Amino acid sequence: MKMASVLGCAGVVALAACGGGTQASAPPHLEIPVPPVHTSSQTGHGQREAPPASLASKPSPFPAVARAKLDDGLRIAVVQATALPIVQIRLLTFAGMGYGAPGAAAFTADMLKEGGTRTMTSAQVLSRIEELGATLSVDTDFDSSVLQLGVTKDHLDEALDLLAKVVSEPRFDGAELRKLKARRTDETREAARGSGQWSAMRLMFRELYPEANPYSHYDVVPSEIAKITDRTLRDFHKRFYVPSNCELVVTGDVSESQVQAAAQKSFGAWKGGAAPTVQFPAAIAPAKTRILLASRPHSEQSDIFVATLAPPRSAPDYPALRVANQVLGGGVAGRLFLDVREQRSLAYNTRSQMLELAHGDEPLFAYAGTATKKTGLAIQGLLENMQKIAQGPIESSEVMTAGRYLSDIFAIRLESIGSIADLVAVQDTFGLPDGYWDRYRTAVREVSMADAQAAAKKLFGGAGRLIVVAGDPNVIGKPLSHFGEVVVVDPEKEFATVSTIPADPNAPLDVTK
Amino acid sequence: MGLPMKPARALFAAALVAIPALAFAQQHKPVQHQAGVQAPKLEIHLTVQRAKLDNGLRVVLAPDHTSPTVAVDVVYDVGGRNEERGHAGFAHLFEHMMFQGSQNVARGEHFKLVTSHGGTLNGSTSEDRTNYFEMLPRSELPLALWLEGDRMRALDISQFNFENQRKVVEEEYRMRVSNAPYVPAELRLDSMVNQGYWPYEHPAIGNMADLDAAQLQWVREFHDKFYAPNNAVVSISGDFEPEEAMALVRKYFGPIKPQPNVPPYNPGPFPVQKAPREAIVVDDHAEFPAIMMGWPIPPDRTKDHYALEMLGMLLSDGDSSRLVSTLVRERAIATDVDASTGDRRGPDTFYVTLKVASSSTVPQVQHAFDAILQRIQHTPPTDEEMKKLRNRIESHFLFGLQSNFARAQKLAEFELYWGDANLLMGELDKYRAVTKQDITRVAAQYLKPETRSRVEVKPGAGAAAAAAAGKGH
Repeated sequence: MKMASVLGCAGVVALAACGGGTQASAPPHLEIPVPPVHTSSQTGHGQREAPPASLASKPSPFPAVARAKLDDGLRIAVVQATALPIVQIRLLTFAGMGYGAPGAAAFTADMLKEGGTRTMTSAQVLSRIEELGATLSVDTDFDSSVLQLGVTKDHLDEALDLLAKVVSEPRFDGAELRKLKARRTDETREAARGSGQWSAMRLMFRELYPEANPYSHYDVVPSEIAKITDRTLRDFHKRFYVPSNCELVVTGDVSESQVQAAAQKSFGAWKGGAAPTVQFPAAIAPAKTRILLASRPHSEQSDIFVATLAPPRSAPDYPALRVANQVLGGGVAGRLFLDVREQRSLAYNTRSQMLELAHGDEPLFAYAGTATKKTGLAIQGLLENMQKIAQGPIESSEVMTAGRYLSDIFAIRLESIGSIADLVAVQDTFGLPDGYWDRYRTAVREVSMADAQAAAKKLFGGAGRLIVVAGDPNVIGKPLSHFGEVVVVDPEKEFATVSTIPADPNAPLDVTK
Repeated sequence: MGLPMKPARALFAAALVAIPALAFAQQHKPVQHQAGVQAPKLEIHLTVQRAKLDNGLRVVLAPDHTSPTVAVDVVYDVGGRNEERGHAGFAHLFEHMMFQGSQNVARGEHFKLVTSHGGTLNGSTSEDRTNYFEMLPRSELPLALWLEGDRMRALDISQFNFENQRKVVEEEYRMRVSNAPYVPAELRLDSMVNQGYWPYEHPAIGNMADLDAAQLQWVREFHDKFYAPNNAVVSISGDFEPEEAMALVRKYFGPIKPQPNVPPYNPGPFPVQKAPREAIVVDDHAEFPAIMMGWPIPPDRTKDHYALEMLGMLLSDGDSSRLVSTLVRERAIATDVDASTGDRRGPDTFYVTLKVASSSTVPQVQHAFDAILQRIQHTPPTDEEMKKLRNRIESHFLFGLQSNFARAQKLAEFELYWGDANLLMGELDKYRAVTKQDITRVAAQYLKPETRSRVEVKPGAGAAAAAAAGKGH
């Protein structure tokens, strides 16, 4: 009920939703012009009072990262922050959800937690960790698997010791694996029925990447889970969970020497071979409009993703790409929010987003969640805004707002040691050098109008679009056909195609009446 | 009050806002816990200053120079509980209108100004209060206070803005409630536990019928009645000088006139429940059955409430908690479980939610839960469990108050709800004072069969689900 009863409204705060590596903060003493605000003459009201002047600013550089490497190859990164007597620990393995067989990465990571160690059952491990006041959590992202926990600083040594056992001495208990598979099967069935966004994401990655590309598999479906065995996990663990493919990140009230000594004691005997090589065949850019409808009968709202590909994270114009995306749909000052939501009343949640990947082109999408009958209008709204920003012009005030936000929001993210640990993890997952975040913050603030416009054209100017909608096919099938042939898939049948609706350019978009 | 970072009660709703968080210290003087365990005692040492302007505005300042940022949180003493019948969800709809322009801020400018100065913002509405907040670089404290003062003074509303936000809120309702599995059942359970007690019987998000009926003129009336300095708290945390901040607060809020006739909150007595209540909610978006139960319990921050919070943690906080370890991990008959308090100012609720695994049945899961409940009603937790609970409470506190916003928010709520933000500093000791016998006692005293409300979620067809989706609330 807490979730349903405490209602966040502007819809954007989620700092966590800013996405690792997508936000940064400002270099010291950089004076940034603030875009002009509308005044009375523009609004038609009486003379408006101008906003107050700013106070003196302070620099907020990214904190220094102390680095070390154990003899076994395990990298260590430490950020000391002594405001509170707590530490955050991340053990990164550079292996994302699609690396290896479908589901292998996530199940391996989960079973490190759930499957016990050579000398302790999983119940014993988890109970001990929780007695320390901590919770061991596992997150498998596109390019990494992360085990994390936060403890008061006096528990650091024991926490690292437990974490080392979990990572390097897994038991992969068969009975625990059977239970985990059953639970995950239930969860994916539940997502297939209850989450339009999950279904749309699964389809988007499936369509934008070839089968051989690890990114083509977003999460798992029951038939993939069924194929996972303890051998799958042991093989994956042997291949990817080697010290040379892992990194220990510790932030908080602790020094680099303390961490190194404790890590040497806990992780020093860990053995493993060379870091594995994974191939990433080229992504598939949509050549023309392709429409997929994930059937969700009786859905009162549609989840709409209008997707394409963005250049790789390593592209030299990456800061400009970030700014262009921010102008379109990066927050409450973005065009999608101000138009699709605040003018057209078509959505509560609308945005555009680049999903960051370590290898190759990245998915880029504009999103809106809209009432079922407004689905066609909302797609039209998203497409119009994408086309408009690609054609230009982008206003200077938009570029300044986007650059300042992307830069300064970093300072807010640095308030917690968990966020700092996450940023170090993102930096190292993408192979970015130390000092990168500060340079990035400078770069986004220095993006010119011309750079932003060129980036917008690159991002949103292509002819091809992948339109993925999760919703009620009985209501939205016809309006969707306005944009082209519609392929209807059933998430509850593992996304098998169940029908096709021919293109009908004359189909009405507005079925609200 | 609930712990700053206590795990969210709701299992099934979409995640809301991930809120990240000074001076805390760890005294290494051993403290004798009841369980006989020696442990260092963590103390909170936030520097908090309180003030009150002549117009009644309460101000809470928590300066901390660790990060060059600042958070401003303005909390109004109005929420879903203050709504009249027929106006369900209006406090929340009104909250949206607070972003639509004010005396010196044109529509859309609030968003642009905060963003263009490197910050972020939002607002939220619960049954108990409404808040508005900005997180910004320290240099922009005047901007945040100017914006908040301007919309406290007067709104600039129009029929277009109102219709626009009505539709936006209706989309929010679809996203959070009618299109979200299990959430309609959660709302139904709340209405059952609070049957006859209107403030909490209806959800803060309201219902479509009342949202459709809302009128523009209600907006100005609502602002006049509730959005006054003497009905609000301004809380500031982060990198600022207190004197400078107070001068800004006086400048931007001082001239605002108080409202001498803020409607009094007279909810009446909470009806005594004499028999269990049962309902079935057919949910088309749910794949598996679920069991949701609720019991009326005393308000937040009463002595027994602390024990009930710890009971909830004993049952479901962490993988080694009783419900998780038994129902989810060991027996694998449930896929997700939760037991926790709602942490409301008024009469509160103890909630239990059990999501049934495909390999299991509702009776099987219910029976297993009943056995676990019965055990804790008769046998106190072990010393090891008490030690773990205390460690986790301390950890939740420290990690949950890291960000400027988290501190501003928590301090503002303490000031508004309980009259003194400094009470936050004594909270850990309230939990530490709970004995294992207290936990067993409150489990037996409050989680009784005759006061239980229970909703069973059945995966099913659309029409029935829509009917259960709160449209009739």
